[in-house]
Amino acid sequence: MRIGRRSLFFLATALVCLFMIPPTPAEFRWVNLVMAALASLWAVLLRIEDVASRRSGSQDPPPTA
Amino acid sequence: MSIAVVVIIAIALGFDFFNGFHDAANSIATVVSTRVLSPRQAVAWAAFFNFAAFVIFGTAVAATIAKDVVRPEIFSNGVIFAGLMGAIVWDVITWFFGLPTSSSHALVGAMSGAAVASAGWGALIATGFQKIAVFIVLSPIIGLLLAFTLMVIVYWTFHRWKKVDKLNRGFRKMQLVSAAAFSLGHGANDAQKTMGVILALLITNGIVGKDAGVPLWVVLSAHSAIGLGTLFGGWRIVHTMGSKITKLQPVGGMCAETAAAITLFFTAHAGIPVSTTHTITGAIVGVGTTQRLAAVRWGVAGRVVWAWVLTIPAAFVISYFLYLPVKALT
Repeated sequence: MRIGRRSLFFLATALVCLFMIPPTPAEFRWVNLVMAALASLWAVLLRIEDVASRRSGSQDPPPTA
Repeated sequence: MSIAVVVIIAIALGFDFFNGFHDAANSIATVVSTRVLSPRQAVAWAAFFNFAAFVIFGTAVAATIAKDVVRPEIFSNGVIFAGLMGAIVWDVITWFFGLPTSSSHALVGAMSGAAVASAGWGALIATGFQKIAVFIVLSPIIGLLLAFTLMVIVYWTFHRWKKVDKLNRGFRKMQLVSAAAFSLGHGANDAQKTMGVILALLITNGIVGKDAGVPLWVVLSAHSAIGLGTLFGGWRIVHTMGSKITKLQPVGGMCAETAAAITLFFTAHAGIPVSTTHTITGAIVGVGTTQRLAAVRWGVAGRVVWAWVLTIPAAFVISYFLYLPVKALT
């Protein structure tokens, strides 16, 4: 199943935030977590949108000549 | 106060002026590209809020620059002079090529270069550097995610709205507020870096105590310098930020500026020196991403990223070598 480019982009953004946790000073690690959560949320929502639009596209009647 | 101190303060304020000239263009790029304000009006608007920032924000970023990047005992007039000159040289080079790099990171890199030339690698404070380095990556990401989220919320809220013209007029007015907020954040963040340098200079020369806060005259003069710099503006960079990364509508400009302003308010409050350039670029990319990834001109964004990557090492090397003749003379 192909994942949309924007979902992948936000997934990668979430991973960057998580990879940055070890070097982030302890008092600011919540920023990484909140941003990773937000990016993951958008990755999931955009994936759902992709799937939904593909399904509605496949249910459309075939174009007539 | 010796002549050397006065001269270095003048150079620091000159750097702040040039910082306004170089970076503050970011504050107005989106309002100009969406034609909410004419370039002249936008510049005056941003300059006013750059100056007004001193009323709202503290001086946590100044304290970080003065005390958390280079060991305070390493600072000398020579180190501060070479550091400032290194940052100015790098800013002039990037301004000449129209690259929207960060004056803040140029300052951090240059101060570190001069300090290392003076006392070796032990001159640097790892934790302070770490905080700045982490937020080089995080600040554009925060801007991007907040801008994307704001754009989606605005679309969801208004997508059934029929009176598009009226809606656009509303967003244009709101963009004035968001541009003002961004300019406040910019003034708070960037003017404080110069305050930090001047504070380090005053402590080094025994003019104020080691634990002293930033004197009011330093706060006022730094905000005045950045405000005046903004007034003179840097149009090459306005063009790159406002139209080359992605095409903006008033709603996009408003969301990008609001997201960047929220990021800058947080970092100014937390005492983290970040780049306003990084932040607004991330936010503009976030707005472009709501359309599709292809709406973002990644080639331009990539060029901007390369300039960011180079800034700290390049400013470091320049000021390292600038400090050597200063060391020989003193």
